[in-house]
Amino acid sequence: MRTKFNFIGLEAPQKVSMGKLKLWLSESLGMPMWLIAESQRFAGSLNEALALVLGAPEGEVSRLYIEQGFAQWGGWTDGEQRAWVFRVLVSMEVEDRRRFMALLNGRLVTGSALAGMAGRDGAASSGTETEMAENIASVSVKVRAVLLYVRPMGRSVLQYELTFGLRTGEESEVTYVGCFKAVVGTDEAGVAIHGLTDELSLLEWIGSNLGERIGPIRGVRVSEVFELHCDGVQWSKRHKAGFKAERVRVVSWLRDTAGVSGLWEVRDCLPRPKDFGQSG
Amino acid sequence: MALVTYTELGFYCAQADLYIDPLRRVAKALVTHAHSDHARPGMQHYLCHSDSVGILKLRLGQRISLQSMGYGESIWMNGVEVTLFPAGHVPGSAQVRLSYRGEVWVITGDYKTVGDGLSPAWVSVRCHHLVTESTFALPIFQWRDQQLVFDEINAWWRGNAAAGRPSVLLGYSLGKAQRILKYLDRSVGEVVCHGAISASNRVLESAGFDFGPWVDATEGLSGLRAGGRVLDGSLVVCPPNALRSAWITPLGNYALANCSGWMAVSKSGDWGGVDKGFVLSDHADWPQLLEAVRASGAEHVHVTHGFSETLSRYLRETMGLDADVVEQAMWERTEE
Ligand SMILES: [Zn+2]
Ligand SMILES: [Zn+2]
Repeated sequence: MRTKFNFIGLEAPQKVSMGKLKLWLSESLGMPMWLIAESQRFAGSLNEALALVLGAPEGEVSRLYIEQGFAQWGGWTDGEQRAWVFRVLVSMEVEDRRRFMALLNGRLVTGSALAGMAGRDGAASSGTETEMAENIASVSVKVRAVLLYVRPMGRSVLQYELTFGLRTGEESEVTYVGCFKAVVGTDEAGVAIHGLTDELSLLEWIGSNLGERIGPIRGVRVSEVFELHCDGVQWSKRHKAGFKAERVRVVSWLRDTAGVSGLWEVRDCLPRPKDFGQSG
Repeated sequence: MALVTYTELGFYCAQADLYIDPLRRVAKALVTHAHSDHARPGMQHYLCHSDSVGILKLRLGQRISLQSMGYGESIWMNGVEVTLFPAGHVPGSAQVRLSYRGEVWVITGDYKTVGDGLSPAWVSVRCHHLVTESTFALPIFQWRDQQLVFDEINAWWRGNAAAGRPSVLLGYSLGKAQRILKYLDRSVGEVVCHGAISASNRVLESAGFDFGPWVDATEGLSGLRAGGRVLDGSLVVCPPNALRSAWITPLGNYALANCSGWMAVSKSGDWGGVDKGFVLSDHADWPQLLEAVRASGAEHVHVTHGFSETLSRYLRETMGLDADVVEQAMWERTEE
C-alpha cells in the first residue's frame, strides 16, 4: 500500500475546474465523455469517478515534482498541463487523487493558502489537513453557501447564529441541506463581532427578511449566497449533510444568487471513510 | 434463424432444444453454474459441469435429473455441438460453446478472466456471437491483485484478534466464501463457517477442492464455546442473512466486513452497516470484460446481466462491434 501524499502547504497556481479535469482525463485515457458521465452517475460524484477510472496507481511522483510543476504551470500549454496532471494523478492512490483534484479545483485549502487568507479579526485560521497518526481526519474547504435560517441569540445584543445550506442534487435542483453555522452580530458597543465588512447591512437585511418561526429558529428569504471558509471539516454521521465543521468564517456576502456549491463538493474534499474501497 | 435466441424463458437454442440458465421450467436446462440467479429449481432435466453436480443437488434436491460433463468435452444434440469451458467465476462455472454448421456462439455465464487459484482459470473461446455478462461494466470497476486484498483482510483480522475481538466476514455460500477461506492466514486464529457455507465446503471438498482447515458451526456458535473453543480471535464466515438471526448472538462484540466488488465505490460503505469493505469480486471488471470480448474475436456481442446498455454502447461506438442488449428480467444487483 502506498503512503498517503502530504499536500500540506501546496497551493494550486490556477483553479482547474472539474469539467476541465474530466475533459483532460477523457482525452488522456481515450475514454468517451458519456462513459465518464455514466460512471459519475453510479459513483455519486465526478471526483470519485475520475479517481477510480484511472485504475491501479502507476509510477511515482515526489512532492518536489508537484511543487516544480506548480511553479512552471503558467508557462505551459494546455496539452503540457494535461500531461503533467495525468502523470501525477495516475501515480497516486484513489484517495490521494480525490484530494489532489480538490486541490487543483480550489476547494481543498491547505496550510500556506490559509495563512494568506487569515480573518480580518486577526485570528489566523489554524490547521488545514489535520494529520492524526497517518490518517487525515479533517480538511478546510471553500464553498458558496446559501443562507437558510437564523437563530436570534442573546437579549442585550443583536446577534444571530446563521445556518448555511448547500445544494443536494444536480445543477438544476434547488433543494438545500443546512451544513454550516456561523455567528454574526454586534457586541454591546455596537461593533461587528464576526469581522465581515458588510456585517451591519447583513444584520439589517436579516431583520427585514425574517420568515417562519420554527422553535427558536427563524426562516429567512432563501436568496443570499455567501463565500464560506470552513475549517476542521470532517465526516459526521449525526449531521444530515454527513459532515460537520469546527470553524466557519464568512469570507464575503456575494449578493449574487448563482452557483451554490453542492454537498458532494465538500464530500469530495473529505478523506474517504477510511475503511472502504481500493487502497491496496 | 439465429442459432441462439432470447425468449421469455431465457437463452434458447432451438436446433438443440436446449435452454441456458432458464428462468422457468423447461425440458432441458444447461446451467452455467450453481448460483441461484442461474440455477433455478423445477427443470425436467439439468446439464452442468461435473464440479457443479454436488452443489446443484444440495440446492435443488438430490433427486433432480442431471447429466454432467467436463471442460472441453462435447456432446451432440440434434447436430449441435455443445462444449463447456472454464469461466473462472466459482467452482463448476462454465462458458457454453454451441456450434452448428459453422456458426459458433459462446454464452459466458458469470466469469472473471483473472485466475483466483480456486476454480480452473477462464479461457478465451473464439466465436461469431458472444453473449457476455456485464455486472461490473463501468470503468470505475478495476480490481487490484487479489493478494493485496487478502493481505488487507488478514491484517484486519490480525488487528481484531490482537484486540480480543472476533471477526465476521460476509460471503455467499458458493464461491466467495471458499475463495476467502483459501487465503486466510491460519496463524492468526481459527476459521469458523456458518452451516450454509460448511455444507457447500463439504460438497466441494469431496469434488477435490481444498481451502485449508475450517471449523463447522452448523450446530451453533454457543455449542463451540461450550466445547471449549475460544472464539475471540477467530474469523467467522457467514452469509448476510445470518446476521439477522440468533445464530450470530453468542459472538458478542464482533467486527464486521463485507467482500464485494460494490465496495469499490465509497457510497457502498453505507450498505448493510459493515465496519469495513474489501473490494473482491468473482465477476470480470471493466478491463476484463473488454479483454474477453476482444479475445473472442466475435463480431456480434449480446450483453446481459448488469450495465448492459453501457457496455453495448461502448462496444458499438468505440470498438466498432455489432453489439446489443439482451435484457434479463430476473437480474438483480447481487453478485451471484
Ligand atoms: Zn449471476
Ligand atoms: Zn454467479
